Amino acid sequence: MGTQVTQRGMMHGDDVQQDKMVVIIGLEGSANKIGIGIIEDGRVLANPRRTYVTPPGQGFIPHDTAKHHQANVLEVLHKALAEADISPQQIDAIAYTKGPGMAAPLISVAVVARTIAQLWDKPIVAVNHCIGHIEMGRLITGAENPTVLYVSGGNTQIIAYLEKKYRIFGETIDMAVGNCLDRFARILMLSNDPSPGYNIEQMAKKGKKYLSLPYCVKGMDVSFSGILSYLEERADKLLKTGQYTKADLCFSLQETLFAMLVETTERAMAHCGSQEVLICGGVGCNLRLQEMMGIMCKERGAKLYATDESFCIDNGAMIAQAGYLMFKAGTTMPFQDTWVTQRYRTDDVPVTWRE
Amino acid sequence: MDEVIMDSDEEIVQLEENVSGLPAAVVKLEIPYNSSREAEIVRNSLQVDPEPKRSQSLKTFNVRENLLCVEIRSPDVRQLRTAVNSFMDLVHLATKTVDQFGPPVQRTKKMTSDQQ
Repeated sequence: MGTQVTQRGMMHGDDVQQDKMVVIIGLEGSANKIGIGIIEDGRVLANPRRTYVTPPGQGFIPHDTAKHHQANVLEVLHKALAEADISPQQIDAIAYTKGPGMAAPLISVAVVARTIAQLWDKPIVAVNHCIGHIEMGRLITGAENPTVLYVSGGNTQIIAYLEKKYRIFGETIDMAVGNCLDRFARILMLSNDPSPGYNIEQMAKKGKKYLSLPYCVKGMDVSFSGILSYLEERADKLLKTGQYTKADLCFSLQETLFAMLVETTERAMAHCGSQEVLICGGVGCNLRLQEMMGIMCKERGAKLYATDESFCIDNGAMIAQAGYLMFKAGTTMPFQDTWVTQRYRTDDVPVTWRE
Repeated sequence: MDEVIMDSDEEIVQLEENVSGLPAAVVKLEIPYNSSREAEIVRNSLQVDPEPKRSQSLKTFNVRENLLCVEIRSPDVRQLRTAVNSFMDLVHLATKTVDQFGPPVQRTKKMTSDQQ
């Protein structure tokens, strides 16, 4: 057959029939991060990202977030292509976040995805944001079939894979744990740079006095609105009277929230007979959460997997990875199906790429 | 509708009448591109998302030669402004994308609805 030269200029011998390498570009912008990642057969070639940071005390709203993404997405796209050192022709498919998330930012990014798919004549793959987190976590950590704790500003779910679906075993019945943390950071007027959760984590390290807070686990599910209103009502007074410092409150909140998450994760593990835990999503960066989960895992003889902030926090490469798996399994979609949606259940997606 | 209209129904009836033919506020846009293919690309990117649930605005798209023609109809000026503003942001974004990452390559296959 002679030697074959692949696109990357590598030489292969007569007896090796190389599969063509598959390159996917993924665009993510469902919350306040706009990220574009490029993956080639499980290797991250580029993963630039920009974050829309609001002033202390303020959350981010859809309209302003969309404007941020619109203003930055094309620069991030140029950056991704340059870092990966690939041309559009080498890309096999465009993956983008279909949902869940905020509508205006999702649409802004989807418009760019659809446009480049047409300009470059490439198929388009619509990805579920939560599945992006899960598949990136599996890729980076090598976890085989873990119980997944997916925790972020927008989502809190305990997930296990079963028969072609990522089943939601437990979830929040009101707000996401990250949302609870973000809103508490606003009460304390902590900086949102790089993220409110990060600043709570740093502050919590200096906390010494534990304040007992409402602990709310309901079977397999968790609830956070009670603990948040409890703090909203009392924080000012507790701080003014000097009974507790900001650090004490951050520490107490983390301990309570994370204990709830560890309990529900453990329940799912026991139910599924699982010996692996994967934490993903922005709140998964939190080292105290990883520590507490690690203690529970050790007690059960289970293994804990977690990634660092480049993959825990929303990023484009995770969308590219999920897109890669879907694309290789034969899933692309016709254009009229590429609309975005604020609500998109993790267990609505047929996981065609796993046994 | 002949039945008695209650408070909450009244508003709904009003809007239905607007959308079905009584004068609505309308904006008509014509945006030129380098080719009809580019105009089609922008149209395809923008017409996929349905209107937001609480929106009563309606957009119709048409490509005439290298012009992207869009008509936006809304029950009143306030809603028209909202619809037009967000639409302008997106059409500007799509146009910039075409400028920076185009021109469109030769298509190897038709991008029809029943393929892929």
